[in-house]
Amino acid sequence: MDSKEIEKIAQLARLKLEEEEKIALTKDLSSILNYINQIENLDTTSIREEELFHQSIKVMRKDIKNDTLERDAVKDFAPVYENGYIVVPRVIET
Amino acid sequence: MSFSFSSLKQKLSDNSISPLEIANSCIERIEKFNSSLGALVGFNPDRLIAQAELSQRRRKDNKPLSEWDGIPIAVKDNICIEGEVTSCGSKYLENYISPYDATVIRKLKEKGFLLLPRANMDEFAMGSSTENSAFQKTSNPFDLNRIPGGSSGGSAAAVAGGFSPVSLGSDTGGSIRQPASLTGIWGLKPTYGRVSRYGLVAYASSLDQIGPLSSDLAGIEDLLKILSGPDPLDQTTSDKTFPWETKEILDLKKIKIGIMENPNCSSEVNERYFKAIQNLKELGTEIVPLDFDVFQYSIPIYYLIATAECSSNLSRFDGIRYGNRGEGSKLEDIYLASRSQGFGREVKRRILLGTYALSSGYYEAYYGKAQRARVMIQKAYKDFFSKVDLILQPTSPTTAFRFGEKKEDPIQMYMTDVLTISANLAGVPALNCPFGKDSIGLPIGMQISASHFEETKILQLAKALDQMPESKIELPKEIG
Repeated sequence: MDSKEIEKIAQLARLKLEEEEKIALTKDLSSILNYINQIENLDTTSIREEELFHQSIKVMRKDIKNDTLERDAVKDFAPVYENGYIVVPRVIET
Repeated sequence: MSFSFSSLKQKLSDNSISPLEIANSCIERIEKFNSSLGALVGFNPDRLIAQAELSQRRRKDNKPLSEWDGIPIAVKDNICIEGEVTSCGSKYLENYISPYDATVIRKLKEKGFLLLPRANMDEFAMGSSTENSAFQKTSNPFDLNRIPGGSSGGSAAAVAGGFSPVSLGSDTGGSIRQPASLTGIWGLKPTYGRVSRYGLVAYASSLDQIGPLSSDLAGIEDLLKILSGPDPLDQTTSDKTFPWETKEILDLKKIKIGIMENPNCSSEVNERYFKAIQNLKELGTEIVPLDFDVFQYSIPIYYLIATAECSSNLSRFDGIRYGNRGEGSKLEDIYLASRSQGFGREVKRRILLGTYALSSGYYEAYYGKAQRARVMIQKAYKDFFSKVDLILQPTSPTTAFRFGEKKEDPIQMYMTDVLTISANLAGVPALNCPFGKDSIGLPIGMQISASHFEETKILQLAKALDQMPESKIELPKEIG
């Protein structure tokens, strides 16, 4: 892991790293990956593809209409809220 | 609060204590000790009194909502309570007020519990010492220079420090059991699917589980009954309900308990472990050594799966709909500013690691490999539980460490969860049982795990451990 690689990952994760942070995180991630790489020693070829997908329970509920939050509930936590809308910068150029 | 959960329940039922008296004694203790203990963030005594007054009225009218009406419970800062801040120990959510109740909170309200928000935690439940909270440090009630464990460190310190007899935590890799162990209390991670996570801020959805911490075993059992059950709002909950009456008594002479070698444990923890095993042998239990092989990979597997899931779950924190919005004239700039200013170092570390593990070119070698390895862990448990009824291990490899001791070395910190993580990877239930103290007076805990939905078996063995004189830990009356 080098600083170029960390910049690419940070961009994918929508994080902007300060120079000092970048140096520290590059070092951290290198040592963590180094540790994690021992997983290569584990032979997992015995696990079939279909075994990966039935591990959790999935219960379907009945399709019944329920009350949900009132639209105005949003105003208590939205960063910018006006007339029933969350305000964001202009997205489409005119 | 000098009362245990069961004695409080008893005193409420025979009217020898009132909900207001309970609330006032909580407040007195919190105001005396929270500044040094740091278990609770943003404590509001008026809200506790308001709940206690309603409870008092119900009791006076002879219409309590349940036998628990009036018992206080501290709530971890990542479980939503309507009208309260739910900050997850993060600057990003420091002003977020939840518009709804988590399912577990709804259930507690229906029974008349007095809710005590907000138990401090590692930011977004990422950590093992509560040192990653953006707001304050939380100390161990047994030694203020030491950490209480994490990520549910506030939930553990609130109970061990006598602020409330029980609390709610969440456990993704040991975050209930490890702090319970380090603070000398009980802490259960229920089976995956046993308790609804609706209203729990997600960290790693295939591993997260809400569960109780308590100063006595009765609190664990009662809360498990109250909290468990299917929830249409959480598709992963099972329709298996927890039996309200458990009649079968585990015959220790007829069961088999699996044990393992623990090369990562300190000698004092291992000594205690051998003592517990010895005691069980003397009670006539058959002890079966199990092979630990595949479990040595549990930490790498966990840190690939949990970080991959967190990189996806935490993408919702973009500064648009909730949380603190960063400055920016374009959407992209708002995302970058909100996330970069809002998240602490460990959260960034895990998001980056997870993003890397999922990125093109590395996906199969990391995430794909970890998924397969996880199935191997699940199969290992299946094999174990075909041979034994329960597994006994220590919960934490060491007792509570000092502030700063592991903070700068992520791998050392991750290693503290070496004994708890595999239960999350397999989805099986596991309980920390207090089991005495080390030579400098710090609590040690033992962990009992069972097959999926076999919590009753765990609780029955726990009762046997609870009766062993070596297990007793008296919680500190004075703190500091």
